[in-house]
Amino acid sequence: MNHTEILDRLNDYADHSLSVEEQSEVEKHLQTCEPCSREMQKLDNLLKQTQGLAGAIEPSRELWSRIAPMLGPQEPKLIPLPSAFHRSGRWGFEYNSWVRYSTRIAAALVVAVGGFWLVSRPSPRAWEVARLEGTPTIGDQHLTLGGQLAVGDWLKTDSFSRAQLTIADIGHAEIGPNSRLRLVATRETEHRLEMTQGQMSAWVSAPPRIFIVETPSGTAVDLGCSYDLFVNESGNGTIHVTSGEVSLESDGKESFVPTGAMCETRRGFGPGTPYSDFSSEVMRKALRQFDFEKGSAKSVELILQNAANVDAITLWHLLQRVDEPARESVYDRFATLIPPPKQVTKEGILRLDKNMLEDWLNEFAARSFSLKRLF
Amino acid sequence: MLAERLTMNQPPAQKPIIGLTDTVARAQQGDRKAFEHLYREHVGRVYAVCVRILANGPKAEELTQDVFVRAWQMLPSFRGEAAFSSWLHRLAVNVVLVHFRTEKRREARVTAVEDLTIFDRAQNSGSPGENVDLEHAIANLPPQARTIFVLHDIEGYKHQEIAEQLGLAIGTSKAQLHRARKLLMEVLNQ
Repeated sequence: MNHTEILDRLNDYADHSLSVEEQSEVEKHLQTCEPCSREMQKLDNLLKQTQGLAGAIEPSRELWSRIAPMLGPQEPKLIPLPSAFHRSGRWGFEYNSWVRYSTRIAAALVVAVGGFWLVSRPSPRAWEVARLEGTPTIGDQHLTLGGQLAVGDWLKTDSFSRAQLTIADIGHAEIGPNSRLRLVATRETEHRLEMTQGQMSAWVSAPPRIFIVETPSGTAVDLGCSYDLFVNESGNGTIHVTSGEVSLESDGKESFVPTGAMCETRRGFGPGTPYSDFSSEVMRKALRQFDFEKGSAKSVELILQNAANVDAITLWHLLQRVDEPARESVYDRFATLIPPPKQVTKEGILRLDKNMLEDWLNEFAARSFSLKRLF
Repeated sequence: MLAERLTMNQPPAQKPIIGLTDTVARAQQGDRKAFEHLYREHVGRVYAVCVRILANGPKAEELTQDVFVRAWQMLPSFRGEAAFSSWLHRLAVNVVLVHFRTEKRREARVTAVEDLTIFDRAQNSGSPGENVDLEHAIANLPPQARTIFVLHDIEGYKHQEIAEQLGLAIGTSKAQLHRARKLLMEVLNQ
Protein backbone atom coordinates (compact mmCIF):
# COMPACT_ATOMS: atom_id res chain seq x y z
CA MET A 1 0.00 0.00 0.00
CA ASN A 2 1.26 3.48 -0.79
CA HIS A 3 0.89 6.57 1.43
CA THR A 4 -2.52 7.60 0.04
CA GLU A 5 -3.94 4.11 0.34
CA ILE A 6 -2.75 3.87 3.92
CA LEU A 7 -4.24 7.26 4.75
CA ASP A 8 -7.55 6.03 3.32
CA ARG A 9 -7.45 2.91 5.45
CA LEU A 10 -6.61 4.39 8.83
CA ASN A 11 -10.22 3.95 9.92
CA ASP A 12 -10.10 0.25 9.06
CA TYR A 13 -6.79 0.01 10.93
CA ALA A 14 -8.36 1.66 13.99
CA ASP A 15 -11.30 -0.75 13.76
CA HIS A 16 -8.98 -3.78 13.42
CA SER A 17 -10.76 -4.78 10.25
CA LEU A 18 -7.59 -5.23 8.14
CA SER A 19 -5.81 -8.53 7.58
CA VAL A 20 -2.82 -9.28 9.83
CA GLU A 21 -0.43 -8.42 6.98
CA GLU A 22 -2.18 -5.14 6.20
CA GLN A 23 -2.37 -4.23 9.88
CA SER A 24 1.36 -4.74 10.23
CA GLU A 25 2.07 -2.81 7.00
CA VAL A 26 0.11 0.20 8.31
CA GLU A 27 1.87 -0.02 11.65
CA LYS A 28 5.28 0.15 9.98
CA HIS A 29 4.21 3.05 7.79
CA LEU A 30 2.95 5.00 10.81
CA GLN A 31 6.39 4.79 12.43
CA THR A 32 7.99 6.66 9.54
CA CYS A 33 5.24 8.89 8.06
CA GLU A 34 4.50 12.02 10.10
CA PRO A 35 1.25 13.16 8.35
CA CYS A 36 -0.26 9.68 8.68
CA SER A 37 0.90 9.41 12.27
CA ARG A 38 -0.66 12.82 13.09
CA GLU A 39 -3.93 11.76 11.48
CA MET A 40 -3.89 8.49 13.39
CA GLN A 41 -3.29 10.37 16.63
CA LYS A 42 -6.37 12.54 15.98
CA LEU A 43 -8.46 9.48 15.21
CA ASP A 44 -7.21 7.71 18.34
CA ASN A 45 -8.10 10.74 20.45
CA LEU A 46 -11.58 10.87 18.98
CA LEU A 47 -12.18 7.17 19.62
CA LYS A 48 -10.86 7.40 23.18
CA GLN A 49 -13.02 10.43 23.85
CA THR A 50 -16.03 8.63 22.38
CA GLN A 51 -15.40 5.68 24.71
CA GLY A 52 -15.51 8.12 27.62
CA LEU A 53 -19.00 9.38 26.78
CA ALA A 54 -21.70 8.64 29.29
CA GLY A 55 -23.68 5.43 28.87
CA ALA A 56 -26.74 7.19 30.26
CA ILE A 57 -28.31 10.62 29.90
CA GLU A 58 -31.22 11.42 32.14
CA PRO A 59 -34.40 12.74 30.51
CA SER A 60 -36.61 15.26 32.28
CA ARG A 61 -37.92 14.12 35.66
CA GLU A 62 -41.56 14.29 34.69
CA LEU A 63 -41.20 11.74 31.87
CA TRP A 64 -42.41 8.83 34.02
CA SER A 65 -45.55 10.79 34.92
CA ARG A 66 -46.32 10.95 31.18
CA ILE A 67 -45.60 7.25 30.63
CA ALA A 68 -47.48 5.79 33.62
CA PRO A 69 -51.02 6.72 32.42
CA MET A 70 -50.26 5.16 29.04
CA LEU A 71 -49.59 1.70 30.43
CA GLY A 72 -52.67 -0.11 29.23
CA PRO A 73 -53.19 -3.83 29.09
CA GLN A 74 -50.19 -5.95 28.16
CA GLU A 75 -50.17 -7.95 24.96
CA PRO A 76 -50.79 -11.65 25.30
CA LYS A 77 -47.93 -13.96 24.44
CA LEU A 78 -48.21 -15.04 20.84
CA ILE A 79 -47.75 -18.71 20.14
CA PRO A 80 -47.57 -20.49 16.82
CA LEU A 81 -50.37 -22.89 15.99
CA PRO A 82 -50.10 -26.33 14.46
CA SER A 83 -51.75 -24.92 11.36
CA ALA A 84 -50.91 -25.54 7.75
CA PHE A 85 -48.96 -22.32 7.91
CA HIS A 86 -46.33 -23.87 10.11
CA ARG A 87 -46.27 -27.29 8.57
CA SER A 88 -42.51 -26.97 8.16
CA GLY A 89 -42.23 -27.25 11.93
CA ARG A 90 -39.52 -24.61 12.17
CA TRP A 91 -40.41 -23.66 15.67
CA GLY A 92 -40.40 -27.19 17.01
CA PHE A 93 -37.61 -28.89 15.15
CA GLU A 94 -35.44 -29.50 18.18
CA TYR A 95 -38.03 -31.55 20.03
CA ASN A 96 -38.72 -35.19 19.49
CA SER A 97 -42.01 -35.93 17.82
CA TRP A 98 -44.19 -36.79 20.83
CA VAL A 99 -43.17 -33.60 22.60
CA ARG A 100 -43.84 -31.68 19.41
CA TYR A 101 -47.28 -33.19 18.91
CA SER A 102 -48.35 -32.98 22.55
CA THR A 103 -47.30 -29.29 22.51
CA ARG A 104 -49.34 -28.76 19.40
CA ILE A 105 -52.38 -30.52 20.84
CA ALA A 106 -52.10 -28.43 24.01
CA ALA A 107 -51.78 -25.25 21.95
CA ALA A 108 -54.81 -26.23 19.88
CA LEU A 109 -56.82 -26.82 23.06
CA VAL A 110 -55.79 -23.44 24.45
CA VAL A 111 -56.86 -21.79 21.22
CA ALA A 112 -60.12 -23.70 21.07
CA VAL A 113 -61.06 -22.89 24.69
CA GLY A 114 -59.72 -19.32 24.50
CA GLY A 115 -61.38 -18.73 21.16
CA PHE A 116 -64.69 -20.03 22.45
CA TRP A 117 -64.41 -17.76 25.48
CA LEU A 118 -63.52 -14.74 23.39
CA VAL A 119 -66.32 -15.18 20.89
CA SER A 120 -68.95 -16.28 23.38
CA ARG A 121 -68.61 -13.52 25.99
CA PRO A 122 -71.01 -10.61 25.57
CA SER A 123 -69.63 -7.54 23.78
CA PRO A 124 -70.63 -3.97 24.63
CA ARG A 125 -73.17 -2.57 22.17
CA ALA A 126 -71.55 0.87 22.04
CA TRP A 127 -67.87 1.75 22.24
CA GLU A 128 -66.45 4.20 24.77
CA VAL A 129 -64.83 7.32 23.34
CA ALA A 130 -62.57 9.56 25.42
CA ARG A 131 -61.55 13.05 24.34
CA LEU A 132 -57.77 13.41 24.23
CA GLU A 133 -57.51 16.88 22.71
CA GLY A 134 -59.80 19.51 21.15
CA THR A 135 -63.47 18.69 20.66
CA PRO A 136 -64.17 15.47 18.77
CA THR A 137 -67.80 14.87 17.83
CA ILE A 138 -70.13 11.88 17.74
CA GLY A 139 -72.92 12.79 15.33
CA ASP A 140 -73.61 16.41 16.20
CA GLN A 141 -72.63 16.03 19.84
CA HIS A 142 -69.37 17.73 20.90
CA LEU A 143 -67.37 15.70 23.38
CA THR A 144 -66.03 17.57 26.35
CA LEU A 145 -64.96 14.47 28.26
CA GLY A 146 -66.17 11.41 26.45
CA GLY A 147 -69.14 9.62 24.96
CA GLN A 148 -70.35 6.44 23.37
CA LEU A 149 -70.21 5.37 19.76
CA ALA A 150 -73.19 3.24 18.77
CA VAL A 151 -73.64 1.32 15.51
CA GLY A 152 -74.25 3.81 12.70
CA ASP A 153 -72.68 6.76 14.62
CA TRP A 154 -69.92 8.85 13.07
CA LEU A 155 -66.92 9.89 15.15
CA LYS A 156 -65.19 12.97 13.74
CA THR A 157 -62.12 14.92 14.74
CA ASP A 158 -61.05 18.27 13.33
CA SER A 159 -57.48 19.40 12.85
CA PHE A 160 -57.11 20.21 16.56
CA SER A 161 -58.72 17.17 18.12
CA ARG A 162 -57.87 13.58 18.98
CA ALA A 163 -59.83 10.81 20.69
CA GLN A 164 -59.26 7.45 22.32
CA LEU A 165 -61.64 4.73 21.17
CA THR A 166 -62.26 1.53 23.10
CA ILE A 167 -62.77 -1.25 20.56
CA ALA A 168 -65.52 -3.24 22.31
CA ASP A 169 -63.61 -5.36 24.84
CA ILE A 170 -60.79 -6.41 22.53
CA GLY A 171 -58.55 -3.36 22.25
CA HIS A 172 -58.28 0.35 21.77
CA ALA A 173 -57.38 2.90 19.13
CA GLU A 174 -56.14 6.45 19.15
CA ILE A 175 -57.89 8.54 16.53
CA GLY A 176 -55.80 11.40 15.13
CA PRO A 177 -56.86 14.80 13.76
CA ASN A 178 -59.10 15.17 10.69
CA SER A 179 -60.58 11.69 10.98
CA ARG A 180 -64.02 10.37 10.02
CA LEU A 181 -65.10 6.95 11.32
CA ARG A 182 -68.39 5.09 11.55
CA LEU A 183 -69.15 2.05 13.66
CA VAL A 184 -70.64 -0.44 11.22
CA ALA A 185 -71.07 -3.50 13.42
CA THR A 186 -70.12 -4.73 16.86
CA ARG A 187 -70.89 -8.29 17.82
CA GLU A 188 -69.00 -11.22 19.29
CA THR A 189 -67.69 -12.46 15.97
CA GLU A 190 -67.04 -9.14 14.23
CA HIS A 191 -66.22 -5.53 15.12
CA ARG A 192 -66.26 -3.42 11.99
CA LEU A 193 -65.47 0.24 11.39
CA GLU A 194 -65.65 2.38 8.28
CA MET A 195 -62.91 5.00 8.04
CA THR A 196 -63.28 7.46 5.19
CA GLN A 197 -60.26 9.54 6.15
CA GLY A 198 -57.87 10.26 8.99
CA GLN A 199 -55.40 8.39 11.12
CA MET A 200 -55.74 5.62 13.65
CA SER A 201 -53.31 3.69 15.84
CA ALA A 202 -55.01 0.46 16.84
CA TRP A 203 -54.05 -2.22 19.33
CA VAL A 204 -56.14 -5.37 19.34
CA SER A 205 -56.00 -8.61 21.28
CA ALA A 206 -58.45 -11.01 19.66
CA PRO A 207 -58.55 -13.97 17.33
CA PRO A 208 -57.83 -13.07 13.69
CA ARG A 209 -60.50 -11.50 11.49
CA ILE A 210 -62.56 -10.11 14.39
CA PHE A 211 -61.56 -6.45 14.00
CA ILE A 212 -62.04 -5.02 10.53
CA VAL A 213 -61.62 -1.49 9.18
CA GLU A 214 -63.06 -0.61 5.79
CA THR A 215 -61.45 2.26 3.89
CA PRO A 216 -62.33 3.55 0.41
CA SER A 217 -59.30 1.77 -1.07
CA GLY A 218 -59.15 -1.48 0.90
CA THR A 219 -60.20 -3.33 4.02
CA ALA A 220 -57.76 -3.89 6.88
CA VAL A 221 -58.38 -7.24 8.56
CA ASP A 222 -56.61 -7.63 11.87
CA LEU A 223 -54.79 -10.92 12.36
CA GLY A 224 -53.83 -10.14 15.98
CA CYS A 225 -51.70 -7.03 16.20
CA SER A 226 -51.16 -3.31 16.51
CA TYR A 227 -50.91 -0.98 13.57
CA ASP A 228 -51.16 2.61 12.32
CA LEU A 229 -53.57 3.37 9.51
CA PHE A 230 -53.67 6.61 7.52
CA VAL A 231 -56.32 7.46 4.95
CA ASN A 232 -56.10 10.72 3.02
CA GLU A 233 -58.92 12.88 1.65
CA SER A 234 -58.91 10.93 -1.63
CA GLY A 235 -59.43 7.67 0.22
CA ASN A 236 -55.91 6.38 -0.47
CA GLY A 237 -54.20 4.84 2.52
CA THR A 238 -51.07 3.49 4.16
CA ILE A 239 -50.83 0.90 6.89
CA HIS A 240 -47.82 0.33 9.11
CA VAL A 241 -47.84 -2.79 11.26
CA THR A 242 -45.96 -2.45 14.53
CA SER A 243 -46.69 -5.93 15.87
CA GLY A 244 -48.51 -9.01 14.60
CA GLU A 245 -49.99 -9.11 11.11
CA VAL A 246 -52.68 -7.44 9.03
CA SER A 247 -54.34 -8.57 5.83
CA LEU A 248 -55.34 -5.81 3.42
CA GLU A 249 -58.07 -6.92 1.08
CA SER A 250 -60.02 -5.51 -1.85
CA ASP A 251 -61.90 -7.24 -4.69
CA GLY A 252 -60.19 -10.59 -4.14
CA LYS A 253 -56.71 -9.03 -3.93
CA GLU A 254 -54.90 -9.63 -0.65
CA SER A 255 -51.70 -8.18 0.81
CA PHE A 256 -50.24 -9.74 3.91
CA VAL A 257 -48.46 -7.13 6.03
CA PRO A 258 -46.28 -8.46 8.89
CA THR A 259 -44.55 -6.61 11.73
CA GLY A 260 -42.16 -3.93 10.55
CA ALA A 261 -43.79 -3.63 7.13
CA MET A 262 -45.99 -1.08 5.37
CA CYS A 263 -48.47 -1.25 2.55
CA GLU A 264 -50.16 1.44 0.50
CA THR A 265 -53.68 1.29 -0.93
CA ARG A 266 -55.12 3.31 -3.81
CA ARG A 267 -58.71 3.83 -4.84
CA GLY A 268 -59.41 1.76 -7.92
CA PHE A 269 -56.28 -0.37 -7.41
CA GLY A 270 -56.71 -1.83 -3.91
CA PRO A 271 -53.75 -2.84 -1.77
CA GLY A 272 -50.27 -2.50 -3.24
CA THR A 273 -47.26 -4.71 -2.54
CA PRO A 274 -46.06 -4.55 1.08
CA TYR A 275 -42.54 -3.39 1.83
CA SER A 276 -40.28 -3.32 4.86
CA ASP A 277 -39.72 -0.24 7.03
CA PHE A 278 -36.16 -0.53 5.81
CA SER A 279 -36.81 -0.80 2.09
CA SER A 280 -34.99 1.86 0.10
CA GLU A 281 -36.68 4.87 -1.48
CA VAL A 282 -35.85 3.53 -4.94
CA MET A 283 -37.64 0.32 -4.08
CA ARG A 284 -40.71 2.13 -2.75
CA LYS A 285 -40.91 4.32 -5.83
CA ALA A 286 -40.60 1.35 -8.16
CA LEU A 287 -43.31 -0.47 -6.22
CA ARG A 288 -45.68 2.48 -6.57
CA GLN A 289 -45.08 2.41 -10.33
CA PHE A 290 -45.71 -1.32 -10.42
CA ASP A 291 -48.81 -1.24 -8.22
CA PHE A 292 -50.52 1.97 -9.24
CA GLU A 293 -49.05 3.30 -12.47
CA LYS A 294 -48.94 0.19 -14.62
CA GLY A 295 -45.21 0.54 -15.15
CA SER A 296 -44.84 -3.21 -14.89
CA ALA A 297 -41.85 -4.54 -16.88
CA LYS A 298 -39.46 -1.68 -16.17
CA SER A 299 -40.51 -1.32 -12.56
CA VAL A 300 -40.11 -5.06 -11.92
CA GLU A 301 -36.59 -4.81 -13.32
CA LEU A 302 -35.85 -1.89 -10.99
CA ILE A 303 -37.33 -3.74 -8.00
CA LEU A 304 -35.19 -6.80 -8.68
CA GLN A 305 -32.05 -4.72 -9.17
CA ASN A 306 -32.53 -2.97 -5.85
CA ALA A 307 -33.90 -5.83 -3.76
CA ALA A 308 -32.05 -6.57 -0.51
CA ASN A 309 -32.73 -9.09 2.26
CA VAL A 310 -35.15 -6.71 3.93
CA ASP A 311 -37.31 -6.84 0.79
CA ALA A 312 -38.20 -10.52 1.19
CA ILE A 313 -41.86 -9.78 1.93
CA THR A 314 -42.05 -7.67 -1.24
CA LEU A 315 -40.55 -10.35 -3.48
CA TRP A 316 -42.80 -13.00 -1.97
CA HIS A 317 -45.87 -10.98 -2.97
CA LEU A 318 -44.37 -10.09 -6.32
CA LEU A 319 -44.07 -13.78 -7.25
CA GLN A 320 -47.85 -13.92 -7.20
CA ARG A 321 -48.44 -10.62 -8.99
CA VAL A 322 -46.20 -10.72 -12.04
CA ASP A 323 -46.86 -12.50 -15.32
CA GLU A 324 -45.36 -15.92 -15.83
CA PRO A 325 -42.29 -14.84 -17.84
CA ALA A 326 -41.28 -12.32 -15.16
CA ARG A 327 -42.01 -14.78 -12.32
CA GLU A 328 -38.88 -16.73 -13.11
CA SER A 329 -36.71 -13.61 -12.72
CA VAL A 330 -38.40 -12.80 -9.42
CA TYR A 331 -37.86 -16.39 -8.27
CA ASP A 332 -34.15 -16.26 -9.17
CA ARG A 333 -33.57 -12.99 -7.34
CA PHE A 334 -35.60 -14.08 -4.31
CA ALA A 335 -33.79 -17.43 -4.13
CA THR A 336 -30.43 -15.64 -4.14
CA LEU A 337 -31.47 -13.49 -1.19
CA ILE A 338 -33.49 -16.07 0.76
CA PRO A 339 -32.74 -19.63 -0.39
CA PRO A 340 -36.00 -21.62 -0.39
CA PRO A 341 -36.38 -24.51 2.05
CA LYS A 342 -35.70 -28.01 0.68
CA GLN A 343 -39.32 -28.90 0.00
CA VAL A 344 -39.83 -25.79 -2.17
CA THR A 345 -39.04 -26.23 -5.86
CA LYS A 346 -38.70 -23.66 -8.60
CA GLU A 347 -41.26 -25.48 -10.69
CA GLY A 348 -43.74 -25.47 -7.79
CA ILE A 349 -43.30 -21.76 -7.18
CA LEU A 350 -43.67 -20.93 -10.88
CA ARG A 351 -47.05 -22.63 -10.86
CA LEU A 352 -47.86 -20.78 -7.58
CA ASP A 353 -48.22 -23.84 -5.39
CA LYS A 354 -49.87 -22.45 -2.23
CA ASN A 355 -48.16 -24.84 0.18
CA MET A 356 -44.72 -24.04 -1.22
CA LEU A 357 -45.39 -20.31 -1.08
CA GLU A 358 -46.37 -20.63 2.57
CA ASP A 359 -43.30 -22.73 3.34
CA TRP A 360 -41.06 -20.09 1.80
CA LEU A 361 -42.84 -17.38 3.72
CA ASN A 362 -42.24 -19.34 6.93
CA GLU A 363 -38.58 -19.65 6.03
CA PHE A 364 -37.88 -15.92 5.86
CA ALA A 365 -40.49 -14.83 8.39
CA ALA A 366 -38.46 -16.69 10.99
CA ARG A 367 -35.32 -14.69 10.26
CA SER A 368 -36.54 -11.41 8.84
CA PHE A 369 -35.77 -8.25 10.74
CA SER A 370 -38.64 -7.09 12.86
CA LEU A 371 -39.43 -6.35 16.46
CA LYS A 372 -40.41 -9.99 16.79
CA ARG A 373 -36.77 -10.92 16.39
CA LEU A 374 -36.25 -9.67 19.91
CA PHE A 375 -38.02 -12.69 21.29
CA MET B 1 -55.06 -18.79 3.59
CA LEU B 2 -53.31 -16.23 5.71
CA ALA B 3 -56.13 -16.22 8.18
CA GLU B 4 -54.84 -19.59 9.29
CA ARG B 5 -52.14 -17.76 11.20
CA LEU B 6 -54.13 -17.86 14.39
CA THR B 7 -52.74 -16.47 17.60
CA MET B 8 -54.24 -16.67 21.04
CA ASN B 9 -53.63 -16.01 24.70
CA GLN B 10 -51.23 -18.42 26.32
CA PRO B 11 -52.16 -19.87 29.72
CA PRO B 12 -50.27 -18.52 32.75
CA ALA B 13 -46.67 -19.73 32.97
CA GLN B 14 -46.32 -22.80 35.17
CA LYS B 15 -42.97 -21.84 36.66
CA PRO B 16 -40.60 -18.87 36.61
CA ILE B 17 -38.45 -18.65 33.51
CA ILE B 18 -34.72 -19.03 34.05
CA GLY B 19 -32.83 -15.76 33.54
CA LEU B 20 -35.65 -13.48 34.58
CA THR B 21 -35.07 -11.28 37.60
CA ASP B 22 -37.82 -10.95 40.19
CA THR B 23 -38.53 -7.39 39.12
CA VAL B 24 -38.89 -8.34 35.46
CA ALA B 25 -41.08 -11.33 36.35
CA ARG B 26 -43.34 -9.14 38.50
CA ALA B 27 -43.58 -6.52 35.75
CA GLN B 28 -44.48 -9.30 33.29
CA GLN B 29 -47.41 -10.17 35.51
CA GLY B 30 -48.68 -6.60 35.35
CA ASP B 31 -47.00 -5.11 38.44
CA ARG B 32 -46.65 -1.41 37.55
CA LYS B 33 -44.44 -0.61 40.56
CA ALA B 34 -41.97 -3.23 39.36
CA PHE B 35 -42.08 -1.72 35.88
CA GLU B 36 -41.46 1.75 37.30
CA HIS B 37 -38.41 0.33 39.05
CA LEU B 38 -37.18 -1.05 35.70
CA TYR B 39 -37.86 2.33 34.12
CA ARG B 40 -35.77 4.19 36.72
CA GLU B 41 -32.94 1.71 36.28
CA HIS B 42 -32.82 1.80 32.48
CA VAL B 43 -34.27 5.09 31.27
CA GLY B 44 -30.90 6.86 31.10
CA ARG B 45 -29.48 4.39 28.61
CA VAL B 46 -32.62 4.33 26.49
CA TYR B 47 -32.84 8.12 26.41
CA ALA B 48 -29.12 8.38 25.59
CA VAL B 49 -29.45 6.31 22.42
CA CYS B 50 -32.62 8.19 21.39
CA VAL B 51 -31.21 11.67 21.96
CA ARG B 52 -27.87 10.93 20.34
CA ILE B 53 -29.45 9.59 17.16
CA LEU B 54 -32.21 12.19 16.94
CA ALA B 55 -30.29 15.20 18.30
CA ASN B 56 -33.61 16.54 19.50
CA GLY B 57 -34.47 16.45 23.22
CA PRO B 58 -38.30 16.62 23.07
CA LYS B 59 -38.49 14.09 20.21
CA ALA B 60 -36.08 11.80 22.09
CA GLU B 61 -38.34 11.96 25.16
CA GLU B 62 -41.32 11.14 22.97
CA LEU B 63 -39.56 8.07 21.59
CA THR B 64 -38.29 7.07 25.06
CA GLN B 65 -41.92 7.17 26.10
CA ASP B 66 -42.84 4.95 23.12
CA VAL B 67 -40.05 2.51 23.99
CA PHE B 68 -41.29 2.04 27.55
CA VAL B 69 -44.95 1.80 26.54
CA ARG B 70 -44.00 -0.80 23.92
CA ALA B 71 -41.78 -2.60 26.46
CA TRP B 72 -44.69 -2.77 28.90
CA GLN B 73 -47.02 -4.14 26.22
CA MET B 74 -44.52 -6.67 24.93
CA LEU B 75 -43.05 -7.73 28.27
CA PRO B 76 -45.17 -10.92 28.56
CA SER B 77 -43.39 -12.22 25.46
CA PHE B 78 -39.91 -11.56 26.87
CA ARG B 79 -38.49 -15.02 27.48
CA GLY B 80 -35.44 -13.99 29.44
CA GLU B 81 -33.00 -15.52 26.99
CA ALA B 82 -31.01 -12.28 27.02
CA ALA B 83 -30.58 -9.73 29.78
CA PHE B 84 -33.56 -7.41 30.13
CA SER B 85 -31.25 -4.43 29.53
CA SER B 86 -30.13 -5.87 26.16
CA TRP B 87 -33.70 -6.63 25.13
CA LEU B 88 -34.82 -3.12 26.07
CA HIS B 89 -31.86 -1.52 24.35
CA ARG B 90 -32.54 -3.48 21.19
CA LEU B 91 -36.16 -2.40 21.34
CA ALA B 92 -35.06 1.24 21.76
CA VAL B 93 -32.77 1.04 18.72
CA ASN B 94 -35.60 -0.53 16.71
CA VAL B 95 -38.05 2.18 17.68
CA VAL B 96 -35.57 4.95 16.89
CA LEU B 97 -34.55 3.45 13.56
CA VAL B 98 -38.14 2.93 12.46
CA HIS B 99 -38.81 6.56 13.36
CA PHE B 100 -35.60 7.67 11.70
CA ARG B 101 -36.52 5.84 8.53
CA THR B 102 -40.01 7.29 8.46
CA GLU B 103 -38.98 10.83 9.27
CA LYS B 104 -35.62 10.83 7.51
CA ARG B 105 -36.50 13.07 4.64
CA ARG B 106 -38.34 15.58 6.77
CA GLU B 107 -35.64 15.77 9.43
CA ALA B 108 -32.87 15.96 6.87
CA ARG B 109 -34.14 19.44 6.09
CA VAL B 110 -34.09 20.45 9.74
CA THR B 111 -30.44 20.99 10.45
CA ALA B 112 -30.70 23.12 13.56
CA VAL B 113 -30.28 21.19 16.79
CA GLU B 114 -32.71 22.75 19.19
CA ASP B 115 -31.35 22.42 22.69
CA LEU B 116 -27.90 21.06 23.38
CA THR B 117 -28.01 21.61 27.13
CA ILE B 118 -29.50 18.12 27.40
CA PHE B 119 -25.98 16.77 27.06
CA ASP B 120 -24.90 18.69 30.14
CA ARG B 121 -26.92 16.12 32.10
CA ALA B 122 -24.69 13.29 30.89
CA GLN B 123 -22.48 11.71 33.55
CA ASN B 124 -19.34 11.48 31.45
CA SER B 125 -16.27 9.65 32.64
CA GLY B 126 -13.77 11.78 30.73
CA SER B 127 -13.17 15.52 30.87
CA PRO B 128 -16.69 17.03 31.22
CA GLY B 129 -16.01 20.07 29.00
CA GLU B 130 -14.43 18.03 26.22
CA ASN B 131 -17.22 15.50 26.27
CA VAL B 132 -19.93 18.12 26.06
CA ASP B 133 -18.10 19.53 23.02
CA LEU B 134 -18.04 16.06 21.49
CA GLU B 135 -21.76 15.51 22.22
CA HIS B 136 -22.54 18.83 20.55
CA ALA B 137 -20.38 17.97 17.56
CA ILE B 138 -22.12 14.58 17.20
CA ALA B 139 -25.51 16.28 17.41
CA ASN B 140 -24.55 18.54 14.54
CA LEU B 141 -23.50 15.72 12.19
CA PRO B 142 -25.72 15.01 9.17
CA PRO B 143 -28.51 12.60 10.28
CA GLN B 144 -27.34 9.44 8.53
CA ALA B 145 -23.67 9.88 9.46
CA ARG B 146 -24.72 10.64 13.05
CA THR B 147 -26.91 7.53 13.27
CA ILE B 148 -24.18 5.28 12.00
CA PHE B 149 -21.53 6.87 14.23
CA VAL B 150 -23.75 6.42 17.31
CA LEU B 151 -24.61 2.83 16.44
CA HIS B 152 -21.05 1.81 15.58
CA ASP B 153 -18.75 3.83 17.79
CA ILE B 154 -20.96 4.36 20.83
CA GLU B 155 -23.35 1.43 20.84
CA GLY B 156 -20.96 -1.13 19.38
CA TYR B 157 -23.04 -2.40 16.44
CA LYS B 158 -21.24 -4.04 13.50
CA HIS B 159 -21.43 -2.58 10.00
CA GLN B 160 -23.27 -5.63 8.72
CA GLU B 161 -26.01 -5.20 11.31
CA ILE B 162 -26.26 -1.45 10.76
CA ALA B 163 -26.46 -1.94 7.01
CA GLU B 164 -29.19 -4.55 7.44
CA GLN B 165 -31.22 -2.39 9.80
CA LEU B 166 -30.91 0.77 7.74
CA GLY B 167 -31.33 -0.94 4.39
CA LEU B 168 -27.88 0.17 3.18
CA ALA B 169 -24.89 -1.51 1.64
CA ILE B 170 -22.08 -2.29 4.12
CA GLY B 171 -19.81 -0.01 2.11
CA THR B 172 -22.23 2.88 2.60
CA SER B 173 -22.30 2.27 6.33
CA LYS B 174 -18.47 2.35 6.43
CA ALA B 175 -18.27 5.44 4.25
CA GLN B 176 -20.77 7.30 6.43
CA LEU B 177 -18.88 6.31 9.59
CA HIS B 178 -15.60 7.59 8.13
CA ARG B 179 -17.33 10.78 7.08
CA ALA B 180 -18.70 11.27 10.59
CA ARG B 181 -15.30 10.71 12.18
CA LYS B 182 -13.63 13.10 9.74
CA LEU B 183 -16.17 15.83 10.47
CA LEU B 184 -15.84 15.31 14.22
CA MET B 185 -12.03 15.46 14.07
CA GLU B 186 -12.24 18.70 12.11
CA VAL B 187 -14.60 20.28 14.64
CA LEU B 188 -12.72 19.07 17.70
CA ASN B 189 -9.33 20.14 16.35
CA GLN B 190 -10.36 23.65 15.39
